[in-house]
Amino acid sequence: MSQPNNPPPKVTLEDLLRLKRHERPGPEYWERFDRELRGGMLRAFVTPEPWAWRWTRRVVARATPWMTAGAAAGLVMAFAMHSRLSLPMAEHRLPAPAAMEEMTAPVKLAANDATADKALLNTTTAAGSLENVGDARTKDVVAVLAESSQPTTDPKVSALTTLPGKPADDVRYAADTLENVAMLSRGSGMAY
Amino acid sequence: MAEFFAKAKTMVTTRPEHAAAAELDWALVQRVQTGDVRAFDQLITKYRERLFAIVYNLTSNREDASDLTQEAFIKAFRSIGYFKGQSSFFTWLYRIAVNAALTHLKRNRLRKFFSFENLDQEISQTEVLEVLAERTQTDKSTLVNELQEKLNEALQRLSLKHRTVVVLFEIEGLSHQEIAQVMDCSEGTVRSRLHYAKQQLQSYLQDYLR
Repeated sequence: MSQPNNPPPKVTLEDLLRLKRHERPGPEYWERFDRELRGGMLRAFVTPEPWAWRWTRRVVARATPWMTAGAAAGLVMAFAMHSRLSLPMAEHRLPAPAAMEEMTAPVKLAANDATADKALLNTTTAAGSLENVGDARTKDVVAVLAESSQPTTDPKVSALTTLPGKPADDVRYAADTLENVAMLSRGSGMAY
Repeated sequence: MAEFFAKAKTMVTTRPEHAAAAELDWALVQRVQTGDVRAFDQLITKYRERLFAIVYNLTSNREDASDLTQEAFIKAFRSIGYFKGQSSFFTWLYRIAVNAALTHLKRNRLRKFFSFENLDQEISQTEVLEVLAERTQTDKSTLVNELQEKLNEALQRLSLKHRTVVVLFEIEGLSHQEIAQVMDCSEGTVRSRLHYAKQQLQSYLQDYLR
């Protein structure tokens, strides 16, 4: 019975690359190398560096701390200028202060409007009780409301007509004027 | 201060034999810095063959390798006064040589002229060559020449960064950490470059890898 032959060992990439270690010059090469290198080093030792190179190195060595400080100062100035310039631009984007005040100021109702406002807050109030409202715009709304004798059950409308703050306050905000309620009710064709 | 840097230098050197060599190198460097030029001769004798091998394997041109190795030693000699010992001397010297080689290769990207170095006699006794000669039924001397050509061709097909990593790791036997110091990159980068380079070489040399 014959013994099975051992498979030949596998050649790896590392084995192949290790062969490159055998590529090396002989001793006679190193004699020449040393001679040439000594000559080169002597030349490098004797030959002074070019004046431009020396001058540049000296200038750079002296100027480096100043350049760093200057760059830092420049950055600070740029940042300061930017923030100073950008501030008026931001102001321009906003409406004039007077207009802002007008837009955000609460609307003061007349003393006799308080009843009407309370009535409007409660959408289930009968239209008939709103007749004593004096303001012209409010009258329009009242007229619209009067067209409908049915109380609203729509939660959206209820939400719109609910004003912030205490219901008893005689203050309401321009953003939630009753005009919006009227327009909504007209636009959606809701029976109000 | 010098002792502090010497300790730091020893710490960054991974292998114990390298640590001992680094200590010796640092002593020689200090002698050169104080004006003893003969101490630099000892450093040249110690590192010339390794430096030449690195540059030769990067360029695959013996004349260029000779010039660049000399250039690296001259540069090192000129700037040895600035060497503070933060890294080991051989890492610093290897970096000078690798940078010189890479700059040369970038400048002469279009000029590709190979001139191979002689192979020593020991190669004919290697097991790999025996196996390959038996498998291909080829004469050893023919196979050696063919392999030398193919290996150099394959290395030259790699990018400069990948080639450098392969040369330093597989041929020169440097650790990942040492290569990272020479190439001024992270160990992870060295590993990934090595992995990619090996994949490329596997495909170029697949005829021999069975």
